[in-house]
Amino acid sequence: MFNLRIWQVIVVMMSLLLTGCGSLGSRSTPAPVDEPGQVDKPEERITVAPIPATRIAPTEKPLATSPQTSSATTKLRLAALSQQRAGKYTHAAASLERALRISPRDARLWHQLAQVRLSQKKWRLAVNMAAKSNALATQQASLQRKNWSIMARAYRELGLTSKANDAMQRAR
Amino acid sequence: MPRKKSRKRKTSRKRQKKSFFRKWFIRLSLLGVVVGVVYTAYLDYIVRTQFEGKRWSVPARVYARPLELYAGLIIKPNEMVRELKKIGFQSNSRLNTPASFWQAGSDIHLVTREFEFWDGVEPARKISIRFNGNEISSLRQRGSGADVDLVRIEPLLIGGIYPAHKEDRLLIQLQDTPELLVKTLFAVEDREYYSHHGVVPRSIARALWANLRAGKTVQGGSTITQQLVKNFFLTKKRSLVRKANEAIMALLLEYHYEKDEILEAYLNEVYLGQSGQRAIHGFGLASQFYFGRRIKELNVSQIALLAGTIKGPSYYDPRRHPKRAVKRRNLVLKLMFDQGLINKTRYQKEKRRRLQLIPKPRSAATQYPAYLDLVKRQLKRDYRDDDLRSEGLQIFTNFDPVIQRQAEISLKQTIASLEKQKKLPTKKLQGAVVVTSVNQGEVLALVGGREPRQGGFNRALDAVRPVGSLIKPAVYLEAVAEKEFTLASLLDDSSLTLDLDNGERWHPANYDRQYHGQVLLRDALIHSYNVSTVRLGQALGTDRIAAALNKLGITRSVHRFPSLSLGTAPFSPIEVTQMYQTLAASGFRSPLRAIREVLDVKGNALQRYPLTVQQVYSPESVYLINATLQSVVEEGTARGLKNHLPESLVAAGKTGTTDDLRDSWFAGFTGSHVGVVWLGMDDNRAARLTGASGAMQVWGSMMSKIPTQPLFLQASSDIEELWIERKTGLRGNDDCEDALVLPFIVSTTPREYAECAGGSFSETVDSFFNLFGND
Repeated sequence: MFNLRIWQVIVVMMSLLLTGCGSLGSRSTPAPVDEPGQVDKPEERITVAPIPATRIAPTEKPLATSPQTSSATTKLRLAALSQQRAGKYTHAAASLERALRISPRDARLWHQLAQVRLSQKKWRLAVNMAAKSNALATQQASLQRKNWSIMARAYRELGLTSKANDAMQRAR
Repeated sequence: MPRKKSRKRKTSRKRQKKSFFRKWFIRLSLLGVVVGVVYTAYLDYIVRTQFEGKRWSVPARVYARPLELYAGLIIKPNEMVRELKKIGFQSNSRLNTPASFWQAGSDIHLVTREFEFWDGVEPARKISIRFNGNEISSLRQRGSGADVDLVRIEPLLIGGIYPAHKEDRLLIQLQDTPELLVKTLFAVEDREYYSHHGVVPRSIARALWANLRAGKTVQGGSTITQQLVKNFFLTKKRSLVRKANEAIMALLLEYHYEKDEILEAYLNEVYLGQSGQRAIHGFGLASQFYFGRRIKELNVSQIALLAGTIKGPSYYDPRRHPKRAVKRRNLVLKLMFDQGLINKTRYQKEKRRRLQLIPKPRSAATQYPAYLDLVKRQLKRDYRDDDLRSEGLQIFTNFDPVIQRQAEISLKQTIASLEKQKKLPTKKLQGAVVVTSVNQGEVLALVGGREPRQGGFNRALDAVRPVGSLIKPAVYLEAVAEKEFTLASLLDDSSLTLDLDNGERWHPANYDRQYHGQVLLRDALIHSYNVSTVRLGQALGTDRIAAALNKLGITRSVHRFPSLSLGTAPFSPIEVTQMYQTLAASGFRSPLRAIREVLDVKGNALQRYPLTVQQVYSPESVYLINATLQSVVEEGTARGLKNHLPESLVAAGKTGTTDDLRDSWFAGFTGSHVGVVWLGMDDNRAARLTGASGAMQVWGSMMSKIPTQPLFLQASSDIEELWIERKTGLRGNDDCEDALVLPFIVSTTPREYAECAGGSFSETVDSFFNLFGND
């Protein structure tokens, strides 16, 4: 593997003299970076449509089916909750993502994910997660209100006052 | 006197000469010592830098998604068994070894292995799974019978990202190595390992004597340290200088480092086999390569085989020369018995065992080159190529082997039958498939061509082709999103001539070569009428269509000709998938992701690629388009899907066909999966297939075989459904001759009633109520 040539010897000797047989260099490894996708980008395309809270549509469609629940989802949701409480937000998000793979239409999971992102001060992501939860929680008024409240907080943090006020109204 | 003088002179000359030689001898000796010291220092430098730096380039390992088992999971028992076997589980009715399973009736019993995920260790478990058809009905702890909520099986290794020299290894630690393996290694290679200082002169002398007598090299006499030095620092060339270097370096290594550290390096360095261009180094990888086992799980005869292989991995290759390998193994077993490592009964038993090899793993870096290609491209945004090939990164992906298999089979079989049916030139028709989850944008399967095992041109990512009518949902969504149009708006589908900027005139035509007069907006999309779509596109302007595509996730810039609304812009299958993912997820775009987490060689999480969503359209606007795309499958251009899908599997989708039938596309979604299929020729010649006769057949065949959920479109309270008369687009009722129920965003519901529904009377009533103002 190593070809011992005289010039190499010289080079090495020189470098040894120069460095005074000092410390041996260490290689750089990829820096630990957590969740690059979560970084809040100044996104302008975001359009959260206002949903009139007062109107009730005379829909002929059957009511939305209740979200799939399974003991596996519950287990992961509870795990995420305790991770949230311990401030382990990345782990909590990962647990909720696992739960969402089992029950992707469970509005409560999306809501909880919005909470996690809010705790992490990822305001845009929190808004979007809450809006997603709302889109799935068409028949769950109280959950919708909680989502609006998350959005209100996040909009306020983003300095979008009128959006924040609007969301606040809906949260009531 | 003169003689005396001359003698004197002679003596002094002699003395001079002598002192001259002595002087030079001393000088040379000193120089020799200096050179020796310098040279030793140089060797010392090499030994320390090499040994303390990164010792090996370890390729990145890429894993599939771990299979998560829970009551309610839909998976065919046979699919599960297939995956278990690929991971390395072995069928064993006694269930007494790790990573074993037993299928009995509608039950599968499992003994899982511990696996370290980034977020925690999944412990080893013994569980029983009961199936009800293709659904897991219960999951229980074996023994106690207690219900288990969730089990995460270790993930399937789907490939590696290799360095140029193709040395592969799985690093192990001494503490994970079975004691018996280490002791056997000493018995075979170096009995005095813990007592020597790197070299054993007696053994070297013995070897030298034996070699001299034989006239060739018959005996090694190298210690484990010397062997490590030879493999680690020096060339393969045999020479005296090299032998001397080896001895010095072995002494230096022993001087600087602990015995255990050197031993661990040896366990990882030693060459133990070959798989194509890939060299198998170290016991960690060798036990996977030969037995599909982790090093901790090796039994006595497997240990003996590996220890015996060191002498000549090619000569004793157990797959190519099983007899030789058994003989060698049994010799090692005898040695183990003689040294008291095993007792007589064990020895007698083990030497009668079969070789217990697994079939040779494919020599290619992966069986799924297209997916691995996507993984590498996504990694290259965050990592240097060199790190991927050398840092031993562990990459966990969203790859789903069950879906991938069905995607490959469906593409292959459909292509074969189309070639036959349509008498196409053989082996020319190509294709690509992409499958993702609806709500997360996780890429689950990717097929890059008709020969999915071959790498090369990855059509799923790189076949950039005009998408035809697949683009239309973007045009129609943009039209309804700003509430200028509703599904009941009337579009003009009569003959049209456009003067283009370049002075040419363009007459868009419909696929059926007919014009359809005034048509409902939703009918124009369902039947994929071109002329009315061009008029709609003109009303919106190409800039808005381009912006709509961008919102849906297409970042490629598009031309601004009127034909944009007919899909003359080219996209790749994966780009189309992103667009349809955003639609399927009700306007919430999630960037398509292949990777979940990246871990370093020690299992520390470096990076996670989390789920993100961005709302780009209101769920209500997208609801209108998705309801229409569902009608495309029920009554429009994709109604042929019924031949594939069971009635309960509701789906939505769109066909795409380009000029002269060059490209055949289908993009669609169920409740849980988005799928995009492209069929065509690499040289862009006519494939003679429409979207429905080609790509849609692949899609239907695939979706009918994967565990997927029916589409359920959830209407918000802002959606209202009304009867509409088809002819006029006005409100009707079920008494009207040709009326249908259509969804509307409440603020856009048509006011006017058709004649069949009472016409002006209803309007009067409506405007009466409007006096009280509910808007």
